[in-house]
Amino acid sequence: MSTGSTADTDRPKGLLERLPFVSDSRSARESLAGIGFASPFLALFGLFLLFPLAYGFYISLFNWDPVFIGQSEFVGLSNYTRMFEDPVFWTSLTNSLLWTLMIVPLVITVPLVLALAVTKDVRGKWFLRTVFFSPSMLTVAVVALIWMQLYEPTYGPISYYLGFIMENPPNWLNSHTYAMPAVVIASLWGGMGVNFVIFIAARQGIPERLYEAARLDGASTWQMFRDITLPQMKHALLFVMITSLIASFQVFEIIFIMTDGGPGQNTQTMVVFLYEAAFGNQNFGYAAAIGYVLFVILFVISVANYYLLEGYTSRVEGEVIEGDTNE
Amino acid sequence: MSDISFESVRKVYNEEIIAVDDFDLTIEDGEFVSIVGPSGSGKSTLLRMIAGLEEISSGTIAIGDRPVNEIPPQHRGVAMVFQNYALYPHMNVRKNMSYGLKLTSDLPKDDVRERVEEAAEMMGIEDLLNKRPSELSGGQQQRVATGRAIVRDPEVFLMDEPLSNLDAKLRLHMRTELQRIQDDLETTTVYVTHDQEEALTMSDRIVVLDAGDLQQVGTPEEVFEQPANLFVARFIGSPTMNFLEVSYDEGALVGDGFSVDLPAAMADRIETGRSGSGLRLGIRPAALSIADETDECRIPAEIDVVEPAGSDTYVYLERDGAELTVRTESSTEITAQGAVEATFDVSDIHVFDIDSEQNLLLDEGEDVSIEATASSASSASKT
Repeated sequence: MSTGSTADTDRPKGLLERLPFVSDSRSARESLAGIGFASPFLALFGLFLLFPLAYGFYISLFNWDPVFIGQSEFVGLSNYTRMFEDPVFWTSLTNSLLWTLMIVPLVITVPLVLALAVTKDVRGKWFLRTVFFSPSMLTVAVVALIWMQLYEPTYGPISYYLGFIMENPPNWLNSHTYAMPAVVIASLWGGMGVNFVIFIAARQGIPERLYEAARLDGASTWQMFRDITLPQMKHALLFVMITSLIASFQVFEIIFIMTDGGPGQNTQTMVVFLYEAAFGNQNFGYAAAIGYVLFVILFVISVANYYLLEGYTSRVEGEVIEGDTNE
Repeated sequence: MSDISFESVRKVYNEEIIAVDDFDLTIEDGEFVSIVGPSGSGKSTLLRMIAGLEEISSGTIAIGDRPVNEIPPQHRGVAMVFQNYALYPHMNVRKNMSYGLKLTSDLPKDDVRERVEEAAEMMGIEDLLNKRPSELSGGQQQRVATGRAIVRDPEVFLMDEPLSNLDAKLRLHMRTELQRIQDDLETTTVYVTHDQEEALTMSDRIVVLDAGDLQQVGTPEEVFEQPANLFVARFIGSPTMNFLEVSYDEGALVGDGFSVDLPAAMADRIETGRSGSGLRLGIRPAALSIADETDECRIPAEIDVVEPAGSDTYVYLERDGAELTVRTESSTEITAQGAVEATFDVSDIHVFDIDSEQNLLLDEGEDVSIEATASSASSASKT
């Protein structure tokens, strides 16, 4: 929209306005201002995300030599074909999926239940909130070390107390059956605090009047949870689900410290596999290919997850009263 | 439709804060009763106790013949309109209105749909049934909230300041709408408001509360014209009642610079009712006017401000730091400046004892709770 005033039309044009793609309209000036404000972020986004993404793909096409880059040998897509033929890749992918299937439901439901429990007027709720959140203040290494002590087969308290009721308590972190669930529990304990806080904030954002109206309408506790709490918390749930899903595929430190992918390859997930390829076998091109496949998997899952959940929550809202809708 | 009775109802928070104290009242079947009082007077607590959203510390609330102390909200036969409407934001209007019916009745879908549409038609919101609350204006949300209450065909409507979020014009319109609906449905209605004008215009009876204590129950005319005590006199009426410190001297009220001879009946009542520490004379602004020389009761004062307000003109007089408000018709020309005298008819005065704060000229002014019970029994018919 033109400013239209004579004074505005008559004044000499500034340097920016003389550029061929810049009109002197207000909307163009606003667009430029917007780009100006966004440019620091865009620069960092390009430097630390887009560039590594492209460069990672570039590396994955080579037998990469990080010291003498010029001596890197172009191998085309052979890192990818080799990866798909590598049984360890498939084991790692299966382990990652297994880890995700175990940790994601837990890291959503456990903090959700705890958050809902301590939102009510229960005695000692501030103490309980502190207890539930405090593990998140620890580093992953500390969480791993605490749980390694707890799981320790000889003098660890878990095995010690289990010794009273069973003859041979499992050697948790060296057991093919129990290693992954054991690490999942440690990861849940150390990682659920942030989700817990997000859920508390989301629950506190729901006006109490809605629950009072629902009580007068005859809703039971479960119906209030289903018809008020869940739809009202859908954005928080969606956010936590997507971030937890991505984080679960990227899990590395806690597994690396607690089991180093073992016993055998029982807890070797994609990132542990990637780490081994890069820093164990010094095969950076191959590791870049693994990283790229991981990126594609995560991207597809995130987008699918977003649309599926968006659709699901809309359906939950739509079906609160099933039928009789003209929408 | 049902009556509601309160017997020695008391609500105490944290074992020390008394929100409602020893409350007795009977609200008749089909009656529209407003509960008024300042913030913290316990009016919303009382409403929420009827709804079942607050527990009753002691006493009994009964709806119809049933004591409801232990009955959950959904089984009390009440529907409530909240101050902020409390519409479910993720459901459209149709679902908001049908939610309660679906949960608590076995009605077939078609019947539910029919009842929702009937209520929507009554409220004039048929075109909004597929919209969500966020797409509605404040007035439309208010209609939906009322429609949601109507659709359940409750025995009792509970309304918690339902018009307070609307602008002045819409509030006036919705007042008449709510009265029309209540007239049509004849459902017992308890209406909480801090707006005494709303209470005066809409109600069959008004309950005045202060700090959890019942001050007076009566028809709007009774509460306005025969305030039981100083609190009610101050709270009801806008502009507020004028007060002057006076003393009683052999059949006359004597103030600073004026004296009022009382009829014998009035003088007797004051003589017997007063505690001796002093009296307060109360005169409504509409009962005061600017005096001429022929008037008997005259109070000297200075004109401070003359404020034309449409059909009325308010004249603010000052007298030794105290303010007197005179309400006259706008056609009355105020020509006087500076010193004037205000006059009144002795039949329009109220006399309060400073110690007990009771209105000494009332027939039944000694015991508010006795009057409340008597009044509730006698004034059930709609005005």
